[in-house]
Amino acid sequence: MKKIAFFLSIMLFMGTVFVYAQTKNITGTVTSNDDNQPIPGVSVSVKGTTVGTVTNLDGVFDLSIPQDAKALVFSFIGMKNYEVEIGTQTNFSVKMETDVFGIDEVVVTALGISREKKSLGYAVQDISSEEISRANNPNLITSLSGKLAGVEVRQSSGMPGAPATVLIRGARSFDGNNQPLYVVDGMPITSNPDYDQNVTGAYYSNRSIDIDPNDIESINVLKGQAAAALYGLRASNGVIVITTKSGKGATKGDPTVTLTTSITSDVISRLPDVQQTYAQGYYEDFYSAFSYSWGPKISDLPKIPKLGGDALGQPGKWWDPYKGSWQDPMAYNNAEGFFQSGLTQYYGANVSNSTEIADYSIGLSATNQDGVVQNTGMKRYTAKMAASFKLGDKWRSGFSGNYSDVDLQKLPSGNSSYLFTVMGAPASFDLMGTPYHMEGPLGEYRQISYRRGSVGENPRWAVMNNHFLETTRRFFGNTYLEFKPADWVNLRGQLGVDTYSTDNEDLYQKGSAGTGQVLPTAGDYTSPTKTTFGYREPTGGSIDNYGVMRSNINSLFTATFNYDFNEDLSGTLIIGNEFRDETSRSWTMTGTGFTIPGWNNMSNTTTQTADESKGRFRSVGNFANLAMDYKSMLYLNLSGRYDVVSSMPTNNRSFFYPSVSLGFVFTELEALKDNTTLPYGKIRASFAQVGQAGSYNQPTYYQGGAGSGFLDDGITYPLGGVSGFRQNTTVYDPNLKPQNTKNYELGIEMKFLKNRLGFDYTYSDQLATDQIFSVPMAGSTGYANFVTNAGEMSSVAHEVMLNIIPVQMNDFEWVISANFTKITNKVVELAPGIESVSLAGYVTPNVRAYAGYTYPTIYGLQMARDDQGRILIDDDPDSYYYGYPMEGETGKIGDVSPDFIMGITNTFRYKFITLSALLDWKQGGDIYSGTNRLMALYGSAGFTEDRTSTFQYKDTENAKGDGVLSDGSPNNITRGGPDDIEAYPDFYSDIFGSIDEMAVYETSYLKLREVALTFDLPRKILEPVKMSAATISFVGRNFLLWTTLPNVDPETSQGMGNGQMGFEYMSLPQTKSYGVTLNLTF
Amino acid sequence: MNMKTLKILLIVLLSSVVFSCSEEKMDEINMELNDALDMSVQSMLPDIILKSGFETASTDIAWYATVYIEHSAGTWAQSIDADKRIGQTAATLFNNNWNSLYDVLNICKDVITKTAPDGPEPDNQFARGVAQILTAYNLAMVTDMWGEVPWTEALLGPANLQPIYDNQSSLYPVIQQYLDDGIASITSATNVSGVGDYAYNGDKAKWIKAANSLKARYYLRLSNVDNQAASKALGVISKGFATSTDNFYFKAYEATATGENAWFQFMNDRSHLSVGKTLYDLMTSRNDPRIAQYFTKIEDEYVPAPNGTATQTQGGIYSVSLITENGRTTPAPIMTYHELMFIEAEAKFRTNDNTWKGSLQKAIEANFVFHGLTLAQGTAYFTDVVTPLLTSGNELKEILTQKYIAFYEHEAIEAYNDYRRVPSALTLNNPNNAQVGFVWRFPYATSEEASNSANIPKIDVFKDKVWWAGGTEK
Repeated sequence: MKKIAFFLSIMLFMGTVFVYAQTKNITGTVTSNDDNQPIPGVSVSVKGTTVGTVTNLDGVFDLSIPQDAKALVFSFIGMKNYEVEIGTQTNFSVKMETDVFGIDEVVVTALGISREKKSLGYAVQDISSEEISRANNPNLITSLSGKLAGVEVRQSSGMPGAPATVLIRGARSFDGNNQPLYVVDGMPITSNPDYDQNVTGAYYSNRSIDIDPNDIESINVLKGQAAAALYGLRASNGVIVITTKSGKGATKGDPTVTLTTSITSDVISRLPDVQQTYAQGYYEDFYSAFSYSWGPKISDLPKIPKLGGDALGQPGKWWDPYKGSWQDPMAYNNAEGFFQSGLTQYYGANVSNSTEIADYSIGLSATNQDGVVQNTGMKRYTAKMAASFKLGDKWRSGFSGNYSDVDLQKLPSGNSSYLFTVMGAPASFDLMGTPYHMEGPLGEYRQISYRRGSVGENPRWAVMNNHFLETTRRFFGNTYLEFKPADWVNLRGQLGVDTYSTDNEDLYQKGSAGTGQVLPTAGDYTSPTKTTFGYREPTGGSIDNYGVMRSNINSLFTATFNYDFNEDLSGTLIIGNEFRDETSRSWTMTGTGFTIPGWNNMSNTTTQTADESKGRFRSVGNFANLAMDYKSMLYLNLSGRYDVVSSMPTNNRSFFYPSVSLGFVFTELEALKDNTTLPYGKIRASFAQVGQAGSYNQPTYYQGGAGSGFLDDGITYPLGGVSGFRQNTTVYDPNLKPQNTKNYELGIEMKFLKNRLGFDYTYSDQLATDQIFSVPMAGSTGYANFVTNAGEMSSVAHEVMLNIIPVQMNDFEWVISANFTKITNKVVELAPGIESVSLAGYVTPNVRAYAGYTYPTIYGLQMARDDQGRILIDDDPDSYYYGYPMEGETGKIGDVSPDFIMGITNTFRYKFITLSALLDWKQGGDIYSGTNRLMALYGSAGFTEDRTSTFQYKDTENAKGDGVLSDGSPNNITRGGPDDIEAYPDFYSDIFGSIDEMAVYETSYLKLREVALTFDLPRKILEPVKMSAATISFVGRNFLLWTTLPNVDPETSQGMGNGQMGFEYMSLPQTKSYGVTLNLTF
Repeated sequence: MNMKTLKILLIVLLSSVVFSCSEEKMDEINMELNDALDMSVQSMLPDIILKSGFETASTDIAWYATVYIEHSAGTWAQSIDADKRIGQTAATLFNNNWNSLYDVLNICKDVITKTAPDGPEPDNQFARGVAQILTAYNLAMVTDMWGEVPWTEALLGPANLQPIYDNQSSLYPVIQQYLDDGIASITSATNVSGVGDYAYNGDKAKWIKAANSLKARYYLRLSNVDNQAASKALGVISKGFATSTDNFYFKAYEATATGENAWFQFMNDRSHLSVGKTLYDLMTSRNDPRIAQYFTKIEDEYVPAPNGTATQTQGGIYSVSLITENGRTTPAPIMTYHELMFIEAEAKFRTNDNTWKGSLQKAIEANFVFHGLTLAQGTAYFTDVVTPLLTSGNELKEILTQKYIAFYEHEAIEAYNDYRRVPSALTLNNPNNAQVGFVWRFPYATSEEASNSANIPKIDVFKDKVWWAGGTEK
């Protein structure tokens, strides 16, 4: 344990190496109070200075200290800090006490200010590098899942670079930004995607993908507004403070070299259950070029008219019109065939060192990920360097720079998904065995698909011919200069830059169904009498080249003053200024209609359009923070920030926000001090107010155009050589003011039984008022949206962090840590007269903010219900839909928010072997599952396999009760059976397929999110090969899944941002992974 | 560094902070960089014509009308739902068109405001006239489809977020007035530029003919409620289209993915429609030569889809429209000469003017030519097929049946209006008309339900007709 801790402490050690001119040498040994064994890696520093070192493997340290040094501070992870007067002593023998839960832990708070965790009056939670990178997850955001109380990670898919959203204590904004601010090494960086995706096209990755999770030393999450208030307008959604690895903890002398490599295999987490009995067609007839699988039994294909072999001299065979040959009738599991196993390889190297005047860390990494669909993947290369220098006695400086190059090959989803023809492929169609394009003239561009329409594309043809590329090259970093003219004052200036460009290319090859190619119809396919495909000239194709350049400059100036009023009372005052300036430019070039097939360049298109958008933004903030400490028992923190932002209307763009917090360590009271049952207890309370700025725009005119919800393209200017312009349909309120979030937070922390049980509970109550949102307008007003202040949203959170050590012995230890989150996030009211606003999705169903309900809700066509809320069954015997539920009104059909979420990590350590497992449990919350709806409609779902039994509504997929007849009596209508063959297709295609509510599923799940078995090789093996550490880990992610949702992983989602997790529509799949990691330190 | 330099540094820093966030500086930073702050009406002209020709005349309203009127059978997705009358009361159904209609009306309003005598461009009376004519056309579309609709309080933006609904009876005079104003504006226009005029390329005379033709259409629309309707229509027809070359088209379609005819895009993107058996049977019983122009064949046969009971398909089972399949760049008819002649025939018949048969013949002949046949074929068809059917008591029915046949497939909206005005002229066969009901008017839109629900009249689309179709105003 101590050896592992040694390396950890090297990384975590915050002390430094600077030496004063007038020095003396001291030495000493640090041992553990528990077993009297030496502790390596303890940081030893001179109090109030930056002079320090770490103990060696024998627990011994040797340090030059200034002559006037007063006291030494010893700190080590898992141990209580220890402080000793120096006096004239030169040799120290120190015993440190175990402190399993890090009472004296120092955390990085807002604006990079380090504070003792016990002094905080609000909740923070940190995660170590080990927890982040344990399971080889290349995506930083999704690696947080289940590890933080009060934080919900909403994933979209397991595709390379897929976006995810992080909600800290729910959402505060109806349709605005609800994502936390990311701060890397003191510099706020852009983390949100530059583009939205709703129901068409490919996803865009969060820009946090540019960070290599292996490069992170720790993440600290500032959850409440009080914790984040110093960041001003950007703090309303909480802050994720990332500290990257640095050389600060490195031992002096030779550089430490760490090599990490991992290899992980990804597979689709859940394959749909498909029926394997019935062929393409309808009402027992076979039809080609048809999306339904409600046809004859596959075994009866030899009997069908025109294509059946029984009557055409090929008994037992049928003419497969797609293969163009006689075939034995067979059922194919096309979904299983289509997905491949992906592979993620990671290589990382880090060199760090610390010398008398400087320390540094250099890291390089390469991630190469192949997705679970052919031609998808991510290539990420990162390089970083961080260093700090001592410049004389009073000055120091440093920098941190990160470069990344991320290439993504993506897939579209929703309306543009290729999965329509994977999940929906008839079992009689051999997706993987049938050529995906024709022979003959331009055969490559004449695809063979089993169905028509713009979603009828053969997925194999699409994967080979279309592509969606996203390439980002980014640099972010900062440099600082620190001046400490006296003990009590510190001035620091920091200048940072975050700049990147993203280049996207969406290509639809000539012959692609979504760009004008009409796919073959029934008459074009082969038959026994016509063995070649009908000729359709390849048409269409399009190429979209678009990108964005974004540059942020951030300067931060702080002045810190410490003052000890007396022995019991001390205070720290920080005043500062932050300046941020952003410029951006994005552009789009679209070319449609390739002339020469296969030449996929803009210059080969018949029509080109181009568009650009420029943006500028500036904010300037002045702030002050006062922290008072009374007897290390009572801590008071006051802060205020005054922000001025450019994006608000004239004379309405400056705002002041206050916050106050109080921490009371009641175990410091004389009566409770040194109690072994309750060694530590703290209550805390805070209040804060933080705003969020909107974007005010002047009234403008822009290029018009025409379209329809039914059309892929509509009309785009220029048309006939001219363009038409029209006024903006969005009106901005000239009196726009920032929305305001008030937050009250109460918490209690306790540690029991020699610290083997730790408990931390937080109650948080937020009210976001004066929401800035696009209030939808009645069409008859002539406009679509009015951007104004209206409405309120509340969020009440209960968070529990629990740490238990059931077993703690020398060789064996079992640690449980659990995070529990229950958030009630409610839309109190929208604008006057507005009941709900659509956030994402289709006309119906969609995801909405709905007044009076939790945020967000799912909206769509409901089933008809009686006065008592019971489902009404059609009891008109003449109706096609006799015995089935009926259409009701459109309204709320589901709630996206879960009842609670919980992550439980169990860690077992035996000698040098550690096994840890994270279970992630989400209870409640609904999703509209478009994939299940379509698999029912098409008749490809496994639950449509039985088409012969009689049934009542309650027996059907996702039935929501028995239903009642019009007279209120229980539904007793039975359909199906041999005389009623249309019963199943009518139910699943027409009823299940058209009433949105029927495809709303509850998505409770229990996932084994991460498992890691780690061998930390013992020193006796390593020493002969000159290695200081070596670990090998076997890891797994997302395997073992229990859920209420069929066919689709419950963490599959369509769209990005606020709509995420509310609906999926042939959305891209989740993955589960297995891998191994090797980590060597020299 | 001594304290003095530190002080200087602080002063420099502080002053730069103050300067960097002054209101003037922030205004400059927030200045619009992407869109124009003002626009000339000439540059707005293309968009009002495009939206009227594409969104108003040729998209969802037309695609639902063709199913309701049984020119087509819906055989896929939303169109088969329309055929089966599933979800036809949903506010979402026509939300897009409701919003796009008021959108184009609002753009027209901006053009009219800018070209007012006290506006910035009083000289562009041509653009003003076009905007007035298109206001009439789009306003008529809204009220024809929905009945009572906002107008007097509409198009005011945030100044009135909840406009009241006006009666259709009060809007028809407004429509006629806008057409008159449009004619007057265009007549007075000088220095006309044809740039961006996708209909007539700046031809003033043709715009005036189009406005008069529309006047005739909207006069005759009131045949149930105004006994002067036919004679008022006749009063303006002579000033309307003189030949098919005057047709009011949106004719700027291009053979590119983002420039194609709306119906063509709909067929390619969606494949929702098949040929309706009701239309096909009327044509076969008349041995109508236009069949070969109208429909595709399935394995050498015409296979119409039975309205209301067709098998779901995206092609391969039933015949589809050949007009559309060949119509990648076919102009979209907003109003045609043959329609005007049908109006003349009906109006003359209603006013006992016995020259109505000549008008009907002209209408049919023009329609034959319109669909790629010869005038002589039209004459022969009129003489051999239509004339024998014009028996006493059957005249109006056959005029409207001929109009119904002629309107396939791009003029479905007017066929839908005619049926609602004179239901006795056509026998529809969709069994769901009896089971569920015919869609007599459109359900009010989601955007109104969401943001103006208090003002929406409560209507039943299957029972309540609009005012000119014999309904009672709410």
